[in-house]
Amino acid sequence: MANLRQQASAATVALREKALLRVSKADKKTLRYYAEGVHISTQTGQPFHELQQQVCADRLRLAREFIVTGDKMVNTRPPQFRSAVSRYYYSMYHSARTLVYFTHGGDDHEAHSTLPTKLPDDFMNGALWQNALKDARGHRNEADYDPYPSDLQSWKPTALDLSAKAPDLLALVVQYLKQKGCGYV
Amino acid sequence: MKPANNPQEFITQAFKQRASIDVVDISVRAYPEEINYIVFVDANDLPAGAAVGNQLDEEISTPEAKAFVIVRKASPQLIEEKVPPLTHGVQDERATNLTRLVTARARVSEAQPSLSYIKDRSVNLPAVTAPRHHLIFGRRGAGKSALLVEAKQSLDPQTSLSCWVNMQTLRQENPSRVFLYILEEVISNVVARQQQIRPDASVSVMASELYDEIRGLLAEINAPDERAIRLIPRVQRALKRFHEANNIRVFIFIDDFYYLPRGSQPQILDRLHGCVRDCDAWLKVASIRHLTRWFQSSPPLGLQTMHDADILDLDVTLQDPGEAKRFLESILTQYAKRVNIPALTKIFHGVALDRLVLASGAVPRDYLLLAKSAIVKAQRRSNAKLVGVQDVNQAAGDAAQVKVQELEEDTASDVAVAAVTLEALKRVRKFCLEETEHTYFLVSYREKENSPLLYNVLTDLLDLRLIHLIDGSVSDDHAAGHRSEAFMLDLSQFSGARLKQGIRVLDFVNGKIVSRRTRTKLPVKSGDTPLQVISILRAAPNLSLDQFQGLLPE
Repeated sequence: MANLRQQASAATVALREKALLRVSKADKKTLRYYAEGVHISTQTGQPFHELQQQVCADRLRLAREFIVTGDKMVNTRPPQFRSAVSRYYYSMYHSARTLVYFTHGGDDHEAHSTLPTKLPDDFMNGALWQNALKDARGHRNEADYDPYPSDLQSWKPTALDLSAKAPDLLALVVQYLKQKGCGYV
Repeated sequence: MKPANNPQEFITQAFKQRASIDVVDISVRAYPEEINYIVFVDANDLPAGAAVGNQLDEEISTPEAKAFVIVRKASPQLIEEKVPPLTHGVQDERATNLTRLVTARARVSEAQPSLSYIKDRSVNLPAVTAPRHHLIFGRRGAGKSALLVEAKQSLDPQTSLSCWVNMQTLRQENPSRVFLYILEEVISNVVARQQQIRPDASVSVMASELYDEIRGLLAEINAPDERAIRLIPRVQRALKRFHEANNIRVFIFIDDFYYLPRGSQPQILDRLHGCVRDCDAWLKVASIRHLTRWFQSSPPLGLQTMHDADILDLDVTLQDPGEAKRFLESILTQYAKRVNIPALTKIFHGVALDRLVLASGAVPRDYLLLAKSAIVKAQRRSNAKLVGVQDVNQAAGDAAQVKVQELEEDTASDVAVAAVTLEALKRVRKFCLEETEHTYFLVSYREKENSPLLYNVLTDLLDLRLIHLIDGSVSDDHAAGHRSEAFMLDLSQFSGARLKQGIRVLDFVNGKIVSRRTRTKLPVKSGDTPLQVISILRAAPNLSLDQFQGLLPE
């Protein structure tokens, strides 16, 4: 009996996460259609705007997880600075993506090359963060694609710089979303 | 110029034209269908550079490749590599540009922030923006306005409202009108913000009515004092409601408070304190400590430290000359980098840099202006490549007259104080240069405690940078428990045209205090260890505060 209950519960979670994934990746237009329908809300048992807030919280959780992974890579022996650069960039990417998703009202600007230009105007030090995101992406490209510099230690300053920036951006995004009424972060 | 022809040149020009930023270097990274231009700039140019870089992304992109301008901080090595060498030293045009820059930017105001704010050791910035009343003390040029401007700029405009009033503009006004002018500034800001948020709210009406009434009172030449006092509870209520309705914190920055007559200072602070009591509104008052009375006990008026307000002391003194040197040189280096001088040693002798610290008494603005004057003096020597010690000495001597003028200006609200301070300076000079032939002296704690009013005469000289604190606690090797403060006469009082020979002076060499007698072959006493420094200071003559007898009114 308990086993059956567990299976049912796992199926419900899977269904809910499938629905959330659709909400998280839909563009603004599609989200409007979703909002007008009742299927997703019925399936998940939550009003549609709350689902969107849940999506924000979940993506920020992902951003947080990448910081933890990046920190582990920096602190492991020997350190894996190249990979850490990539993890920190993805943390910043997901923080920024959450921000744009919430303020724009859809996931229209998830492209890495477009995302930095879509940060909201009233985000604190927006120009600097836009540059920081482009910079982190540049570093990530170099770290993941270029075989040089081959000396792994030379990636240390970049990794340490991003290890400070990624949590800063995450904290600012959380603060911003709270101020704008996102109750789930 | 079209970006497609030469994107790097286009970027360089755009940075120069749109934000006056000199690009140190550009590197290009190409990826499939994408190209990254990495632009290296000075660390101070990063915020403005980032904004320009973001604008350029779209402008330099082509249908074939999307382009991104990424702005990064240039390393000191990169800056040095790219800057042409100063083969002519101080005769280089860049040295002249530095003097112009210092002249233009040495004074900070709300309208003109500091060139680049350098945090001092105690990192006061977070304290100033904290929800607490603050009295921010520092000598002229210590960085009070720079700190306030920096604090104001760092506030989030979404969650805070800041108001700025400079007391120099109001120093001819009576206390009641000064109070009204400050209220006018605060309430006008509240009205403006409230109009943006919700013009029909009751808070908006309340603030607008209050604003009209304050304006009305200011329009009357002789409005009775009671009418201004009656505004206090209404302003307090308006500020409280404003915060409750919008969750916006109010910061009231009051600069150069010492310009007001000392007698009326506690009263004005008391009224302002009444207006912000139990509100989320905070006073940040910048002043010179010994020209300020922030509390009087009978009747109790003003801001009581510890209870009502905290004190922030900005003075970097000569007590730690090595630390003072690092702080001051970091400020001047920022100016030098702006004009493409990569390091101060390209135009200053090392000993001249040491002397600048001593000559300025560790006051940042004095340091900058003395450095500027010393460069000009060195440039007059056609074969000189570096600023030398003598250039600094002469510049310090020339500054003496300016300091006395400033003394008269600072104490303009009380002519008697200016006369007392000038006379006190004469007596200290006579004691130092004629009677004891020492440029430094001790004042015992016992005298300080027994004659507090006479000691205040001495601290006025300290605040006006005519003497400097060298050590706050020098023990007496013959009498246990007896301590003294060690002071040094400002270099302007015995250098340059006033140069007197055969006197014992303190000097600062390679981060250490030394004592030597000028124009003699007597050995130099070097303070290599703390004990040796104490030994040098213990040998200084004792200045009795009785020197100032008769200066104070009965």
